[in-house]
Amino acid sequence: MDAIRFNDVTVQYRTRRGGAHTALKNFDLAVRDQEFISLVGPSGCGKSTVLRAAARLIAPTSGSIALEGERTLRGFERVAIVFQRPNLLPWLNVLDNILYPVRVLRRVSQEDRARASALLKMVGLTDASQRAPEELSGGMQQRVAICRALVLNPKILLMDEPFSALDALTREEIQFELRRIHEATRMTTLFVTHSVSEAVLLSDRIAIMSSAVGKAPILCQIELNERSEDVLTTEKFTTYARRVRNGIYGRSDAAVAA
Amino acid sequence: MQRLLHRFCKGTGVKRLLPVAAFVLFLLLWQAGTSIFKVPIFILPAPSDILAEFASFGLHMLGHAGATLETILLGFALSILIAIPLGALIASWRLLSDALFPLIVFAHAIPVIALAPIIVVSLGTGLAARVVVVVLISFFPILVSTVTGLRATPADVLDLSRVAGSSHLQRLRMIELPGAIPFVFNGLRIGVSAAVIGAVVGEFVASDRGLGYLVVHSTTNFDIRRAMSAVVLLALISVMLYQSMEWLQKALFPWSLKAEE
Repeated sequence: MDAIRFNDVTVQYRTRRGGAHTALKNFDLAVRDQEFISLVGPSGCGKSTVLRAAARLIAPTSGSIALEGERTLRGFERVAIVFQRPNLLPWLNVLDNILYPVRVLRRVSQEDRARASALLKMVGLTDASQRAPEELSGGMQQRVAICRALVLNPKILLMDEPFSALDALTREEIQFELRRIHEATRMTTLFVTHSVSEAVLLSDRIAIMSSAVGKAPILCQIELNERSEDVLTTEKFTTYARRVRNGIYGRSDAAVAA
Repeated sequence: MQRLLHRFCKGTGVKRLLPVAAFVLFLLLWQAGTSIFKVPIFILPAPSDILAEFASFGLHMLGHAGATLETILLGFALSILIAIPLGALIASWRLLSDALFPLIVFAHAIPVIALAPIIVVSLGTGLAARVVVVVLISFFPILVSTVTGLRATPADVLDLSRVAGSSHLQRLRMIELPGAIPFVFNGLRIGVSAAVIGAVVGEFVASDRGLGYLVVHSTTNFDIRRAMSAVVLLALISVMLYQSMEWLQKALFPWSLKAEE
């Protein structure tokens, strides 16, 4: 069963001079239920456009996008999003920031508070619940942003380069944490990144997009037995990373699939 | 030398005392200057003359200060009540913004001092005319800061809120208005100082009470000492009101001061 299905999606923007810029053309992709899929590709290939269209932040010019739970679920119950910056609200403490998506939909219950606390515990921030966002490091803030995205147990999680603003060590640490969370929740995740190794480490599948608008993405299945620190130096990991790079740099599709 | 002074001031209470010391030095120079050059009191009274005037005429002057303060506070409160909701409407409704903003900018471009006598003709010499002058002069900075603050909400934060399923009103209440607080307080600080000017202008034109009236009345009688005392009292009121905005922001929205930093 597909959690997200892009059917022949085209997105065009109006330019200031009155012309039209095509960000995405005839894009097809089926994201399977419980899958972690990454979108990689050169800058400007339309990765973020795909993500924003899935979040219903932009409407496709033509084609359609079907989301699981579209008719029955609302807000972050259906789709949650994490951006490059944590975007925490400075006037709320950590716990209230996590509970923000709940507050948009309904009154916060004791169960919601308990879930938010459990999420904080999961990312190792139990003691930070009453602290102000600016008292936390960048990595801690992004962990809080992930908790906020998970608080309503969404069907689909969208992440737009969520770790690109973090330092290398924090980034690696939080990558493993995200994979652990995914294995525990099996939440369908659509992840946009520029980092090939990040995509290989986290994903079940990688969709490699081309800078040539309208070219179908190349799909690369990732089968790694474990997702720990040790995997980074294995031959299997480096082979996957090489294939994805081949795809990004426009080498033959066969080189990616091989 | 500069580096040495900087090192001396750093980490001690000296840095906090510096403005006080500078102010005291200024008063001493003023006092010394008027004594040495024997400046006549009707041209520039010395600080000691002003202090003596406060001692003899202070209670009466406080009555005038109360009248001015009443005009300032009424006008300023009215400005807030008009400017913040109007700012919210303008920021969230593009059509209204396009229609009203040029008109508001034009209204602000009119010198209120020139308009004050006309307002007096229309509304009479009572409190209402003075309050309108205050509103006209203090409303604009609050409005512009509110609109700027509401429009400064990061696009990603708004998008996140949209994905969370928020309505337009929820976004305004839960995201945009709290986010605009540092900007609004900047506007309030400018607005309250402008309100003092507006009250004085109103009292210059039509009043029989207030510090503005006292300045006009005293200078007509060449009582510069009393006029200067009224000006000093006005400056004190202005500083006090400006500072009270800082305190209010610190007490109600402490996070917003950190956001400004």
